[in-house]
Amino acid sequence: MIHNAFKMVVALALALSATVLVGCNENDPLANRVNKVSDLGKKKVGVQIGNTADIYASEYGGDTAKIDVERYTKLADAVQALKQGKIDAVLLDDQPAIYFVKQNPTLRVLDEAFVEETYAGVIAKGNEGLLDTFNLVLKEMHDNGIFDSLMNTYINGTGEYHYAQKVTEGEKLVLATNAQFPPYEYHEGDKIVGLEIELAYYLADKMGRVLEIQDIEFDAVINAVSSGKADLGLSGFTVTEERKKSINFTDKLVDNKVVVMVRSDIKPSELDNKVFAVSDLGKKKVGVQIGNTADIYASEYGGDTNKIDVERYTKLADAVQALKQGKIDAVLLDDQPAIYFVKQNPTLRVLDEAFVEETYAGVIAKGREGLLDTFNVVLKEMHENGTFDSLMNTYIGGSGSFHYAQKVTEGEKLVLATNAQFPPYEYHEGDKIVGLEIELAYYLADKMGRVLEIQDIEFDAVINAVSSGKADIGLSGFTVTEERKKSINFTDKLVDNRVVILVRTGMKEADQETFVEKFQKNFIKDNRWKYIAEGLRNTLIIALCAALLGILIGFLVAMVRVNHEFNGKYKIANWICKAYLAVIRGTPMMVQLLIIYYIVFSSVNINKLLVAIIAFGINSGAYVSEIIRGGIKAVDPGQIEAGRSLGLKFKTVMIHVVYPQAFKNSLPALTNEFISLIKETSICGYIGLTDLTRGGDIIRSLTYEAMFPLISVAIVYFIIVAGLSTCVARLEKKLKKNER
Amino acid sequence: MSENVQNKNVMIEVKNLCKSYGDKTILKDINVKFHKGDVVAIIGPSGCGKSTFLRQLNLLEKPTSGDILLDGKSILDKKVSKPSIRARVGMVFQQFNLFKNMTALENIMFAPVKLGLLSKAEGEKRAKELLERVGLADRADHYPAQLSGGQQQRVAIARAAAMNPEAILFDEPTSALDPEMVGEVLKIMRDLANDGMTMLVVTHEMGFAREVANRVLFFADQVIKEDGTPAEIFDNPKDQRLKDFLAAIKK
Repeated sequence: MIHNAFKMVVALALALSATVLVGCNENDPLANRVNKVSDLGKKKVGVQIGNTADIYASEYGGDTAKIDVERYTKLADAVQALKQGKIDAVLLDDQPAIYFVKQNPTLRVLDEAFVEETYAGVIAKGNEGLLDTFNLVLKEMHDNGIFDSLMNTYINGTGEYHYAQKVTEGEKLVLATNAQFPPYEYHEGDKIVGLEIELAYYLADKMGRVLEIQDIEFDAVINAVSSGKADLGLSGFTVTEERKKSINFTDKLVDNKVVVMVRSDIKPSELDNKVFAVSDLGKKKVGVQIGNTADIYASEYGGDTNKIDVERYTKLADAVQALKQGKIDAVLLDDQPAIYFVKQNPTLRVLDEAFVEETYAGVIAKGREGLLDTFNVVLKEMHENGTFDSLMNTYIGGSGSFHYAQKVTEGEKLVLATNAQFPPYEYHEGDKIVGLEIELAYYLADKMGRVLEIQDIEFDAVINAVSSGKADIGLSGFTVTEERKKSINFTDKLVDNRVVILVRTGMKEADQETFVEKFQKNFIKDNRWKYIAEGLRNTLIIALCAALLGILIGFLVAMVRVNHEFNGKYKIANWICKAYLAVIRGTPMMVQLLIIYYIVFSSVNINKLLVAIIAFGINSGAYVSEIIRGGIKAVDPGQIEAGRSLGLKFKTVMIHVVYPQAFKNSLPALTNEFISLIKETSICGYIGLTDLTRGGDIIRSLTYEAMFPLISVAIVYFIIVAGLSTCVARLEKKLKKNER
Repeated sequence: MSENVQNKNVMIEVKNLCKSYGDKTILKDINVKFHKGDVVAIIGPSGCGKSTFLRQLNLLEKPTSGDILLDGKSILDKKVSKPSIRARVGMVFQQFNLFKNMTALENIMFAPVKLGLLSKAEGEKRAKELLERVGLADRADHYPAQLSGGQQQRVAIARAAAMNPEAILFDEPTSALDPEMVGEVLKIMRDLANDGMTMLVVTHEMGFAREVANRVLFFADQVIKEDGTPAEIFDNPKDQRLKDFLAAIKK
C-alpha cells in the first residue's frame, strides 16, 4: 500500500482475557491466541492501511505461515475488531499501542517487538527549501530542549509542556496528517493535538506562517504532500526505501517499534481496579512488605483525597501471591526482586515508570563504628579488585557466574541478620541461602578471619536484631532513610534501587502444571521436603519441651496458690504467682516470644530453640497452673477432710488423694492447652526459627505456590494433634475405671 | 461413784467451749465430759451446733475459745500436732468421703500404712479383716463409685476403725442414705459399740439412740439443754424444747 508509515513497526498484541493456552481456545472468539511474534502465522492480524506494519505483516511467514492480514483505514477500528475477537492481534506503532492499552485494559502489548524503525516527516520532492528549514528548526528544537519537553509530555508522560502557535496572521503552512494516531496526532475535545502537531506549530512560527491542519486518511497523506495540496506531512511516517523514491523524508523525529497488541485476560468486572501507571495507584489496594520503604512512600501517597489502600505483608512472596490471585491491584517493591518475581511468574509485569528511586546499604549497630569502618574498607576493596562487579554481573546483570564462597571455616562468628526472601540479594536456593549480599558478607567475614553465621529472620526484625546485638550486621536490601539513620548506622552505598510497581499482565499461567508436577516442584525439587521435615522436627521439639516446662511451672504455681488458699501460707510467693498469671495471660504469645528473644536474652548468643522452649513453656505454665488449680478446686473438699481426719498430713492428702483426682478433672482442659501450644508454635518464624509453618513458607516463597505447602503443613499439624488427642482419649478411658 | 473415780475414766473433757462465725454464735460455754466406752448420741434440731461441736473434737474446726482435753491434755496446745490428735480420734462423715481414686481396700489401709503404724502387708491384712467384719470382703477391689451408699459408709467406718482410734465421731452417718440401707450401717455401729468403742454419734435415728447409746445429749439454743440416759431423755424429758423436739419427731 501506498502510504505508509514511516515508523518503526512494533507488534502490539492485546490479549483479551486469555484463558491461557492458545490451542485450547479454538472455540472461544475472545481467547487470546497470540503470545509471541512467532504465533502470528496463520492468524487474523489487523493493521492500518499504509502503515509499515502492513508491509511487514504481508511479507511475514513465507508461504507456510502467512499472516491473514486485515486492513483497516482507522487504527481505532482495528482495535475495536481485536476487542470483539474478530481478529487475533493488531500490529501497530508502540506509542499509540501504549495509549490504546491505557484506554482498554482488556488489551495488552507483547514485550517482543515486531519490527524497529524510525519516524520522520514527509515533504514533496523538489521542495528542498522547506526540507532544509524543517531540519534546521528540528535541530534548534533539540538544542533548546523544546523537543525533549514535548517528548516528556506526550511519550514519557512526565511533563506538561505544550507549545501553542503564536503567529495568527499571514501565509498558511498546510500540514497533512491523520489525527487518529496518539500521541503523535489525535483529537482531544474539539482540537487536534499531539507531538507532531506542536512541532509543526513551532515550525510555522519560525517561518512566520499560520499552520493549517488537514486531517485526512492516512493513506492519502503522502499523496496530498507530493501533489502540493499540503506543504508537509506529519503522521507518524516510518522511513522506508520504497517511500524515499516518491517523497523526501525529514531528519529522524523519533524511534518507533511496531508492536503486537492482543487481548489480555482481564475481565470487565476487574476493569475499575487496574493499575497502569503510578497515577493509577490512588484508592487502589496496593501490597507492600512491612518495613520496606515502599510502605512509607505508599502510606504517604495521594494526600487525603487519593490515598492508597496499603496492605502490609510480612513476606514479599505473600504480597505477590495476593496480587496473582487478584486480592490486591499492585505490589510496590524494589526493582531487582520485582524482576525476579516476574521471571518466576509470567502473569505479572513491572510498570516502566518507577515509583521512587533510592539507595541500598547494610546496617550496623550504633556504637560499632569499628565494624562499620571495616565493612566500608572491605566494600571499597571489593569495588577496586572487581569482586563487587563480578557479583553484580552474576546476580543483577545476569551475565556472569562468579560466586564467592567462605574460606574461613573456624574461629569466631560474624552474625549476619537477613530476610532471605528477597532475590537476588538474598534468597533460598536448594537448602542454602544465596544472593549478592550474602556473598558480600562471606567476603567480609573472610577478610575479618571470622565465620559467617546467617540468621534468616523476618524483614521487620532485622534492624532490631542488629541494634540489640543479636547480629553484627544486617544486609537485607535496606534503603537508606533519615528515619532509620537515627537508630542505626548505614554502611556505604551498595547499589541503587528503584521502587517499582508490579501488576498482573492479565495472562493466565502459561502452562497449567499437573498435580504431579506441582508436587515435584514443591517437595521433590532441590529436596524441598527437607524444609517441612526440619520444621516438623523443630515444632515437635519446641512443643514437647515447652509442654514439659509448662507442666512443671504450672504445677508449682498451682501448688503455691492452692496452699495459700487452704492454709494461708506462701503469701509473697502467691502474690508473685498472681502477677505472673496476670502478665502472661494478659499479653499475646507472639509479643512474649519477641520480648524474650530481643529483650530478655538480648545480647546473649542463645540457641533459638531454647528461646522458643522457654517462651512457650512460660506461657503454657500460666494456663496449665490455672487448669490444675481448677481441677484441684473441683475435688470435693470432703476428700481433704477425710484425709485429715485420719491424721494424714495435708501434703500427703494432696499428693495421694487430691492431685490424682485433679489430674483426671483437668485432663480435657490440659489436652486443649497442649493442642493450642502445638499450633501456637507456628509463630516461631518471627524469631527466625524454621518451624513447620515457616518451613512451608520458605517453600512458598520459592515456588509461589500457595496450595501445596500450606495444605501439607496443615495436614502435618492435623496429624500431630489427632495423634495427641487419640492418646489422651485412651488415657481418659483408662482413668475412667474408678467411675461407674 | 466418787468424783475421783469418774475423773480417771474421763477421755474427753470440754471446758467453756465457745464457737462463733463472725457475729453468729453457734455454741456458747459448753462444759461436758465423755468417758471411755461411752456411746453418746447427740440430738437436737438442725442448726443447733451439734455437728460443729463434733468437728471441733477432731480439730477439723477450731474453737473460738475454751479448751478441749484428751486424756487430760489440751489438744489446742500449739505444741501438739494436729495430725497426731486426729489419728487418735476417728471420724465418719455424712457423705462418707471415701477417697474416690482408691479401692475399698486401699481406702482402709492407706492411712495406717502411710503413717507407719502398719507395714503394707499388715495393712492389707487388717483391711481385709475389717472388710470381712463390715460384710464387704467381696468388694475389696471396688472403687467408691461402684459401691452403694450403705456399702460406702460401711467402708468408711472400717477406714476409721483401721487406725485403732480411742474414739470415733459419727457425723450423721445415716442421713445421706436411702432408708433400706440405714439398717446395715446401724448394725455395724452397734457391733462397734458392743466391742467397747467410745462413740459420739450425731444422729436423728432415735431408735438407735435409745437402744445403743448409754447417754444422750440434747443441743439447742447454742447450749446443751439436757444430758442424761436414754430413758431420762426420751421417757421423761424436762426441758420444753426437748419435749417439742421429741413431739415433732414422733409425728
